[in-house]
Amino acid sequence: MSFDTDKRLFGEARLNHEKFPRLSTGPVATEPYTSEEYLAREREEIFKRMWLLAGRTEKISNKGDYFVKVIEVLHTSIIVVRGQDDKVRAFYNVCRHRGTNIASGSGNCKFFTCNFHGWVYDTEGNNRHVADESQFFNLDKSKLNLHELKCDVWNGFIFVSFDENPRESLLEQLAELAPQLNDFPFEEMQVAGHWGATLQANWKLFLDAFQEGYHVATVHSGTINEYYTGERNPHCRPSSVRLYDRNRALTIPFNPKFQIHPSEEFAVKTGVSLSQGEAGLKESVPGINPEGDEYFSFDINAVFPNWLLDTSIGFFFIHEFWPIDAHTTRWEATMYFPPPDNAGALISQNQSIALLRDAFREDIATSEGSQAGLMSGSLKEINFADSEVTCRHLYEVVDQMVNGNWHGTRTSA
Amino acid sequence: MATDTILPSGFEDLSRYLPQWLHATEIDRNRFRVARALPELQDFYDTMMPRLEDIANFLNDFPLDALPRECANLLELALMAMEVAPATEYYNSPDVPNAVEHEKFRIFPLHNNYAVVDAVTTSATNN
Repeated sequence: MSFDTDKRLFGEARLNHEKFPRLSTGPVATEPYTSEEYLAREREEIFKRMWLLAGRTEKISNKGDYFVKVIEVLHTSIIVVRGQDDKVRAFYNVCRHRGTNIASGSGNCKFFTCNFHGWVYDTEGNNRHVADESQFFNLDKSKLNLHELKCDVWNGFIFVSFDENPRESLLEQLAELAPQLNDFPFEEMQVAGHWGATLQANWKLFLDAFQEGYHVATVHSGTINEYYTGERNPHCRPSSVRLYDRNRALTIPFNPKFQIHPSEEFAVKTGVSLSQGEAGLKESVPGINPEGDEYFSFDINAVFPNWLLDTSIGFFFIHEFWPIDAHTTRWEATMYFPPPDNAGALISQNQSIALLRDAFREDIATSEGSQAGLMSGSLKEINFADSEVTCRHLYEVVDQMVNGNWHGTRTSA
Repeated sequence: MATDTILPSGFEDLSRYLPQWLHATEIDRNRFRVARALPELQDFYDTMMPRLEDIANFLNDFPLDALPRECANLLELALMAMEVAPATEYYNSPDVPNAVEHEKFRIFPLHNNYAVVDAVTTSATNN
């Protein structure tokens, strides 16, 4: 059900809670955003058990391509590699001799050679050579292959699980988002923008900055605010919200009275634009705007636990939030466009890339101040508005899981 | 003739922006933009916007992976125009006014979507 008739986007009805009556409405304690002990429980109950995003397959499109991903919250790094058999695998980046990392960065190889004592592994993880082997005692190389992680791929997104026996398959974890996004043309696109920051903010607090529109009128006041608000939706409420057991999604409309600028006018002639307004109504792609909202701009699909998949017409972008400790998070955002066919398309894409990047710099400017405020201990509880229901949902899903409820909230309406 | 001062014929009026406004990467374009004064950015923006369509129509005849240097220069001016656009269309300021500091914000380098063919050696160099 869409909320996008004119009255409902600035009326008094609290439509998200009407749609999901089982969610609580009371204030939430702030401790989960500041406590190291709480993060330790998140590590055990969530990050060690769930399928985590490692990257996309275009990073490893050829046999022997690999990249290393650091996962600070689990005190490890992993190697994701496409073997000579064309299969994608993930391994702990840990030599089976004395634990050294055997790879860094990214590249292409037939063998990984440890920089410490020269042990060699192939791209399927097999131990192929131990230098000066006679000097070991009863060494069984077949037990000294790289430690493999569960790895699965959905629509080009590579996931790993640190659980030897994952409780759910990847598709089960993606749940309703998988069929909805199945036909979105992810694989037609490549990285066009890539940004990051490590900030003093809890991962949930940091993620919240990107999963609600309530901040838009203030954080982007005088800037991109005009694209998303206007008379019809002065507080940038989502036009529809979907809360699942753990995942969630929201649709953000644009302001139909938005006056397109010259750069955007050019961008939509030779491609698409982040801020295309009415021009975006002329076409569609599969997988977006599942409730058929008017003036669709983009969807925010929050894939539990820690990333957002934002889909629009002709591009998508993702945000990842990797906890380092309870008050430090590494954020990485990547924007994807189809490879430009010609100069016109490349120039067009750069309009969106520059604008989105600048908007992100506004968004993340609030996070450290908020975290510092919570660390003071002065604020014991947070009141979430109806338009911040996605923040409440993330909070409650996490809280259910750290308290042993594997199924999250069961809020599905 | 220095290769960073040439533009295709028909676009010589833009040569006053060469070579200072030419940058091959997003990081360099952004760094350059935020160090300019707003009137400079406005002048560049006002000049470039009406030319973008002509620029695209001209450059579309060339393969992106083998651009002659003068075409790459023209392309980089257009890319710079899009880097500048948020400053003049939205922020009314060279940089984003209420933003996280540059020191904390990382722009990762990416491969470029175009390559320049050096007319002298006829070998493609990836920018």
